[in-house]
Amino acid sequence: MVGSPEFDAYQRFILSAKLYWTGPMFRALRETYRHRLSLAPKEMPPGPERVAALLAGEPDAQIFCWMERHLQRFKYSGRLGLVPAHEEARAAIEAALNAPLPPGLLELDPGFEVPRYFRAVDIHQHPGGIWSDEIAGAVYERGARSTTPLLSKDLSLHERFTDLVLALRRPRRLLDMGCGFGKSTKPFYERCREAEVLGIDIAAPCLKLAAQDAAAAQARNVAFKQRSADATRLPDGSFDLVTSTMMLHEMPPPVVEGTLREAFRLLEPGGLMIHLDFLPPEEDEFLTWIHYGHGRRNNEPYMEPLARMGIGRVMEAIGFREVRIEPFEEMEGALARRETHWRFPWAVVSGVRPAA
Amino acid sequence: MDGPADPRPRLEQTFFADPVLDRVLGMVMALSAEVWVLRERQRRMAIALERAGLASDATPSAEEEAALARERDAFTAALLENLLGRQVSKGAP
Ligand SMILES: C[S@@+](CC[C@H](N)C(=O)[O-])C[C@H]1O[C@@H](n2cnc3c(N)ncnc32)[C@H](O)[C@@H]1O
Repeated sequence: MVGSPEFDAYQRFILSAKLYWTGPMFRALRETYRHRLSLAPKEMPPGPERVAALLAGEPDAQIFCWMERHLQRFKYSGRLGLVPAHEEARAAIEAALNAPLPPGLLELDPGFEVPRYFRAVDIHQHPGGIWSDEIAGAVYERGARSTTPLLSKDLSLHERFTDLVLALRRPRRLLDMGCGFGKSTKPFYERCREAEVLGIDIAAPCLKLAAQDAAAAQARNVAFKQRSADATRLPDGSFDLVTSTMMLHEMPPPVVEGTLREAFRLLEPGGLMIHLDFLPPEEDEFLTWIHYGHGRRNNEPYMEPLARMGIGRVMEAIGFREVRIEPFEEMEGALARRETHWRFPWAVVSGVRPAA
Repeated sequence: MDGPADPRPRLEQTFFADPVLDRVLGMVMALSAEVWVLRERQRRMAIALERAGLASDATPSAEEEAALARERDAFTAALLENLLGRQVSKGAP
């Protein structure tokens, strides 16, 4: 059962093992890669394919990859995994999710068809995905507390992103695309009380939790709607700021492109679009290989296509200006630890819709 | 995508030359998790008992929590360092 001493002990053990994987196992693998590289023929072209060839059959690589996949499986699906542990609390969770809400806070679309690309895999190894089960949002919420194993307080990355965005722009009307259960939306509606904030997502179970959480926080400047980011049915020019956090890598490139076009349409002239996502550092073939493999091992099949689609050029072609793609530090000193610890290659992607 | 569908649930990804190793390592990790669950339970009971016989206040202090976290990480390290395959004392390759 969630919150039982056994459940907590089990989940803490999995997290501890993930930390070991993040540190010593990652370093062992890098060391082996460097060694193999020093022996490699000079004519091998650099890139993730070279890393794959150099590490083929290496026990360090096999173990690293096994751990990456299976520790996440244990987290969600083991005896005391998140999914079975929440099952026992289902009735209470459902009751809380369906508690009455202030009018206008949540708009679900009963006829909404979850896109095929989202149904085809169980994202980040959450059995059934985050959209199909009524309580999936609650399971995801608990899971997301340790998405980034090095961060004990995972919320700080959302706070840091909000700091960065608000330093560029104080919004009047903000759209948070792919808002999930509202973790990325909350710092905006709490810190910009004067702004109107809208969160959209395709996963109803997450939106329900986002709305209950906002109601509990007595927020009056936010609403949540079940809409796809590439087809929002919202009026032209209705926002001065469009954000997303960890959404783009969940979409195949044509949907990413449709989403960027939609953001352009939704922004008023001069408006800013800014996404926080993952793009591996091109100059580091090892980290690029790790990242592409992570997508496969963690059931996130569009991470590699996103990294390869040349999102900056696509944005320019749509009409965005001041296009920027910059690394993001999810915690103090994170970039400096790139050599010694596994981390997601956080990146901020932004562009402005030119003023007329 | 076409062709007769495999009626089995999707087979798990494999990383080792022998896929049986993939499965056995899974079992080892599952057992390890169970061992830790027992050990943590036992430590918490010991703390409660030591404090006041059968006192109901079993919440460990911050220091006790920190000690338990250190113990957990040491347990994990002792378990997983076997998978690094590095010699601890130098010997023949
Ligand atoms: C990793 S979650 C991040 C959620 C939230 N932004 C956060 O930071 O916690 C990605 C979210 O993107 C949503 N998503 C995926 N495809 C989408 C689409 N086409 N339109 C809107 N949301 C989408 C998923 O349902 C999921 O909630």
